[in-house]
Amino acid sequence: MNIPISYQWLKSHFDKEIPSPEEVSTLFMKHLCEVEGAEQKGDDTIFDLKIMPDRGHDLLAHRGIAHEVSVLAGVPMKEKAQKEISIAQVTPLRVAVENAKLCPRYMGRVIEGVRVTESPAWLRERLESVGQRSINNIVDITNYVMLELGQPMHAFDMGKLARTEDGAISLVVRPAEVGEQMMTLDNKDLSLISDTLVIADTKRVLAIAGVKGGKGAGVNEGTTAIVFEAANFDAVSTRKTSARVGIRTDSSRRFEHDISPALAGEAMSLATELLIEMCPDAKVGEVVDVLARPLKNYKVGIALSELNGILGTTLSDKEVKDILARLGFVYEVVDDPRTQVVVMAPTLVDKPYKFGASVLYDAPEAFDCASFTAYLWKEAGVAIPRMSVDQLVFGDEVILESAQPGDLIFSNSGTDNIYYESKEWMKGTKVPEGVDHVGLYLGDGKLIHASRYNKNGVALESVAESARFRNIVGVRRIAIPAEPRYVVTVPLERLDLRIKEDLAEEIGRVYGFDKIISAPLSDITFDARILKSYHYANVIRDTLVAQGFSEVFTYSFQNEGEFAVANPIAEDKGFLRPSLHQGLMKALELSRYNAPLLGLDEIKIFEIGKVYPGVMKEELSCGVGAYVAKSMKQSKREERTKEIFNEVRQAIEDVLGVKINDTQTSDAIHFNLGALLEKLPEPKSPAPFKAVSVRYEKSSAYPFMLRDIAMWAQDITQDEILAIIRTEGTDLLVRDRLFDVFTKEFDGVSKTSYAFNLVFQSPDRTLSDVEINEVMARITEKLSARGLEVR
Amino acid sequence: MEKTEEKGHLHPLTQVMREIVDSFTAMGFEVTDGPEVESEHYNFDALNVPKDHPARDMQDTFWVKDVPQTVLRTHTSAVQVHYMESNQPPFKIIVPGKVYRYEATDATHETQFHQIEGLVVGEGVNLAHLERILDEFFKRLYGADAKVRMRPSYFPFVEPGVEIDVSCVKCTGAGCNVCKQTGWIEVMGAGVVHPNVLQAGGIDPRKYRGIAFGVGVDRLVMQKYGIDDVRLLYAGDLRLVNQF
Repeated sequence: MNIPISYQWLKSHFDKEIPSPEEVSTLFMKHLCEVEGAEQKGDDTIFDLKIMPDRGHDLLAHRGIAHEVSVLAGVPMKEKAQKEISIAQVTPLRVAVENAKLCPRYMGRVIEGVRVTESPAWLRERLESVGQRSINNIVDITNYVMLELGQPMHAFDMGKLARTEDGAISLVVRPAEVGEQMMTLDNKDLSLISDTLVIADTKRVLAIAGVKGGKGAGVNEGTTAIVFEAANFDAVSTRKTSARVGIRTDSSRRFEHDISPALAGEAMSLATELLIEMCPDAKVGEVVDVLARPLKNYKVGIALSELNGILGTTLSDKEVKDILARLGFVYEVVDDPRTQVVVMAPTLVDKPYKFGASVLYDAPEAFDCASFTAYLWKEAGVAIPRMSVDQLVFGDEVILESAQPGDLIFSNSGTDNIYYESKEWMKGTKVPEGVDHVGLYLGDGKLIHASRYNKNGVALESVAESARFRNIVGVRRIAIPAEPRYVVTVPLERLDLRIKEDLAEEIGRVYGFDKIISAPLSDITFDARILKSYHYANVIRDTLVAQGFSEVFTYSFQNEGEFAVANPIAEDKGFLRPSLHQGLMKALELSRYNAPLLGLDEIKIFEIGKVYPGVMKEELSCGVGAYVAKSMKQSKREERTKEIFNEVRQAIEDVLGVKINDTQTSDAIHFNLGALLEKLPEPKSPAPFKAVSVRYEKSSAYPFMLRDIAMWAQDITQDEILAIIRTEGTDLLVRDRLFDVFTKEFDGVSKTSYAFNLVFQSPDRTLSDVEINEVMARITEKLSARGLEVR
Repeated sequence: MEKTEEKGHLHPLTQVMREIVDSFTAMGFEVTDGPEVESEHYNFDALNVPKDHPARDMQDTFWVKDVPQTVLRTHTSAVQVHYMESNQPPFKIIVPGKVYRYEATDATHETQFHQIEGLVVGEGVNLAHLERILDEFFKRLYGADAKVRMRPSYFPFVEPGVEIDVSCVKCTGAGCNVCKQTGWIEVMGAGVVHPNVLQAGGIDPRKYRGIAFGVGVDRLVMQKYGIDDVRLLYAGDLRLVNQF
């Protein structure tokens, strides 16, 4: 998604000097994203940044971009002082969220005693600098916060919201009821369905969650009390709703990219601060915060050799730490992951069992067997799969007698869901013994595991005595490089950092991909085979070219066929071509018309490409078309056309060594090249190819004009005649062709008759008869002056 | 009967594609291909492009009628997982082919165009190797002065993902209207194959790593010859083809 970013707005995040707009642009291109434009607007520069989907979580915001400037230019950002907000007695607010998955967080706050006016100049300028219209101070605050933090916000006019019996505002985030109506802020009347998530009070729908507010509760000059909303809505649901109602907003686009629920809290604070600045007498209520799951940070680990292995660099430990520091990432160095796992495990004894426990949210308070092992390794910076069967396939096989602390022991206890193939890691890998339980080996014959059958969830016992491990199906070692790991606590808003490859990219881009020194790949033992279809297609192409045929590429989409497109780009392009026929016919017609300009007596073309003769049928076809342009009797033309096709068929058969079964119409022959390939041997060596060096010239869009000129000549060469014709013809003469020449005796004097076709065309205008007649007159004059008899 | 002894002409798309493919086969790559009508699985899911995700906006799609979850491939990358499923690493493949995108047509956009995809999978393959391979390729294509550079980008099927720029063919880096004064022309997307994609192909991402790159051929052809409208390439017009 492209967004406008104001340089001055970025600058306001810093006390110290930041690099100039040009320097910032260069830094971004090298280390962050494409700068598609940089426009001067007064003393500001507005960047047009192409933010890719993987950074849509944090970079559709000036603060996120400012943070990047800080990281890349090494300039610290201003410290933001937390302002104390005094809470007053206001109308009570209650919020209910019916579907936590669709709305992970909803924050609402009542603020009374507000005055809706024009925004202060600084705010209007900020908004206008990035093309946002100023509406009023309240609405502008919500837009400013979105553009600053990347968190969309909304404001309701509290006076227009329904009250409960006890005078409270009661908001609910729920699916719409079929047929419920809402008129949007910009007067679009919508009829809703149950897939649409809405914000509603006790009486009606107030807004389409994350997409658009309703007119009914919109803030205007009369508003004296508001409800601020800062919420988090599911990305997929928002995207689908936005498409369905046909409304795409800065808000919906940000939710579509998925943002962290953490941002809502910051947004609410910032919006409140700004409002108090503008309305110092406002009475600010408590924030009602419905947060489905606690905000937890992911941890991702990577070893130096893994990092350098991916990037092809030789970064040192110090260089990596410097970059992590620049990024402001909290991290720890785990010197020996395996030891950490083994040391940490016993500290979790007696933690309760929970089936399907989340490694992020439930640990370390509750575990199931596989979330326990996954959690321990994750904390040491090693990602292992979530499920026991996947962990089994993931690990390296070890025999029980050689088990080391940190190894995973798997069993089929016959009591839980038994898995016989992997679900996520190398999906479909068979595990014939079946597995339903996993534990961590601690050494000395002891293991630790989480099970519903243990007294208290996580228990430490001896392998030999554990009831759940009577039927051990395997022991696996987690293979990791024998070196420390950098285990990064991922900032909440960085939804893009989840696996070590993401970290490698992050560290690599800050280091600079331009600093990577290219290296040769040591010879891969790989015998490249020759692809039959590619090889023989080229052999046929070269044969056809030698026969005088030129290659065309035509369109796959047509107005008729057997295999239809569900969403054609145009009504007359609803089908995939069943054959090359229509395309070739069109091409022949076009070149028929242009034959004089091309200087061709015969139009000979071919195409090799895929055709679709039926639903889900795809074939490689070769089509050859011909048209005899030279003027002659129709019967002669038909004869010659037949001859052309016979010759070309023969030429191809000679080169390939097999007969081709082609279908023929009057102007073309086609054959199924894909089917033919089966009869052909495996190619031994590739078809040679030499590229041509060409100076392409754009064809004129204007019509050409034809003239013939014939003359008797003696004591002059054809070249000399052409020289005269071309000089007088000027650039307008684009082609000349000798079409007839013969010599005759006149009273003992030998005279030669020449007849030329002349083609005139201008690159920038339509020529007139008058103009060309003048040119012809000049040519005739000059030829006559040279002693030629122009007829 | 006058017979034209004149030779015919290969379309500039074929010429450039053969030149590119030949450069890579000379570097030991194997040519392969796949179907133009593809399942959603191979075109998107196996390539780590999630459903209902803004990443799908990067490639608007043609769907076929009456056959569920089936599309016209939007990129030659669709062939990657097919090949991985039936071939063990190490390998180096190059895939020329026609692709389709649902886009309004104009001078620089068509609903059908051609791409060439490259994929190298082996032990210890990395970004530095990618740069060397592409450097060698562009030197073969444009001459010994050609240089490449990598900068950050994003594609769901690679991580790290990069954009490849090549030094401007016209001004060799001095700055001109072709390269908009920057001295560089954006030519390719590339990167290290995402571990999810290797897994989808049945390859263990801890043992092997891959690098991949993809280039739009039509754009290269237009740049090389100064053809200003992509639609001219598909008009079946010998006024263009016969100049080659």
